[in-house]
Amino acid sequence: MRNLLAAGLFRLWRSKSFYATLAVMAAVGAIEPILGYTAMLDLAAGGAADAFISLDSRYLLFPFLSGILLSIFCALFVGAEHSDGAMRNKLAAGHRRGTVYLSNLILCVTAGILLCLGYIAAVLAVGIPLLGPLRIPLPLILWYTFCSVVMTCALAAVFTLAAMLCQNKAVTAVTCISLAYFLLFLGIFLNSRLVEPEIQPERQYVEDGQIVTLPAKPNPSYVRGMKRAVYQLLYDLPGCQTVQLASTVDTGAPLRLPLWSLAAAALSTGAGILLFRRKDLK
Amino acid sequence: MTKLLSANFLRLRKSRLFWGTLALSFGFGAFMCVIRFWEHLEYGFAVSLNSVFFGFAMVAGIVSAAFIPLFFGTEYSDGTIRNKLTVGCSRICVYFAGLITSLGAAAAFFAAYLLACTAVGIPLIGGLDLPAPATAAALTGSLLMTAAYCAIFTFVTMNCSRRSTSVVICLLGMFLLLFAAVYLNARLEAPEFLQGYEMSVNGEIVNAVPDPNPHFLRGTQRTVYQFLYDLIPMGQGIQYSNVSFTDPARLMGLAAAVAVLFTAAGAALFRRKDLK
Repeated sequence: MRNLLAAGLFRLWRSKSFYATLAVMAAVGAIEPILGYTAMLDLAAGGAADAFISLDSRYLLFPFLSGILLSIFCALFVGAEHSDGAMRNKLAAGHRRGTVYLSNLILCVTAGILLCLGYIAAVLAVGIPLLGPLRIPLPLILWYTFCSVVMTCALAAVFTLAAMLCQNKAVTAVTCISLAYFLLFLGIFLNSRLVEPEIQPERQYVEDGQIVTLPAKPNPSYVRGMKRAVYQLLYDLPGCQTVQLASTVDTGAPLRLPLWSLAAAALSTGAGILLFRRKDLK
Repeated sequence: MTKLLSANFLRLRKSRLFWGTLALSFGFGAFMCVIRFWEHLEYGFAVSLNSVFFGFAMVAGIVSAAFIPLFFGTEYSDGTIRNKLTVGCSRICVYFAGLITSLGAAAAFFAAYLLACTAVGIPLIGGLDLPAPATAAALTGSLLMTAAYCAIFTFVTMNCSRRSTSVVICLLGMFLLLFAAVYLNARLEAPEFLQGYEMSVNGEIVNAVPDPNPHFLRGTQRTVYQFLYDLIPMGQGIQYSNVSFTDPARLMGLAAAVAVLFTAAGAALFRRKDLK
């Protein structure tokens, strides 16, 4: 295991796909506060009364990006082991399949954490001088960061599963990238459905100089019963929970989100090791 | 050229990827119609085929971004491109045969979606209630937009020797176009004025003056944003799928320009490419 990890880390530090994804994360992290600052200047020039843009909204973006970039990295990094025959060489050298799987998982998780840190370092380094410090209290920011990093690790486990079981690097790339986007869009869709209020509040409007009052009524778009339970379950899954993490940052994300991430990581790793042990590597 | 095309189409007919994508396109069309019908039953929403029929314009790019590099990238990984050149086919012919095959495949996916909408949608949610010119414009425009996508992805695939790298570039580029189109749409849709408050003073209704929206785009900035929104295929896709386009001739002209530009640049680069 130690040899596999040392070789893997050696390859990681020389991996172009790792540095390319890290550079994208850091570049977006640096550009976001600059965009916020220019928008703030535009608003001030336009005479807006409240021309202030907080660094918070820029900081919260990193889990939206980390999953997508990690899907590219995992597909290319692990896929290269299949296409170059390195996987067979490791097995021929006497390493167990479970150990090979776990070493690749650890490398992907490490890359995921480094991608998050790359964004955080860039957004804080550029953002604090331009937009000032974060407004959200430190414990809440730390909790958000922890939950987001755990979710990124869970996604790394899912992408590792796909990359270890599919020997075609291009197909792995399509699968992982599509899955990352699908989970993100599913999270946005579920959020829009779950925030629908159960009751439409009383509304007033003016007609011919008279105030007309529409009484409160049940919202037909409100999701109920079993369907709501299923939606909520999917909404808590890694990838989908990105929107939930950002929308609950002021109160702190519920504990079940990192627990779901850990459960998803454990399940996908367990299933991945079982399937990889039986896989015909040709 | 004819031989290259017949070889490509033969490979297409035997490709599991092609038939799988065709089945997915058909299934997506049927799924969208069933979802609309279900919404009608559950929530009582008024639905029509208009909201579904042109929906493929939104996903044509994603389907092409996955299919084209996977299908044509094999020509690099298997050495087929070198074989074609060795037997005397010109590079331009190889490029155009690839482009025409990808256009044929994309048109087939579009047709499968429309077939599903017609077969499943009409019995469930009724037919189209759009004027014939608007329907024709949306269909023709969507096809031209698909041609623009094919030109862009063929440009990438034929000039990138690594199949997995082409896949990543095409898919990532596609989603960047999607986010850019959504952003441009949001900026262009911002209202010019924000609704003022209505206050009741001593029982009288006082209408506050609407405030100008600082996010509303004006002048040159609005023209540039509108041009970019019309230029990028995903911006066109949003307009076609919602049937919200105002100047279809402009959209078609821009899509054709994108297709021609990318094809010319791609063919020129491919002629000089070192195929090792």
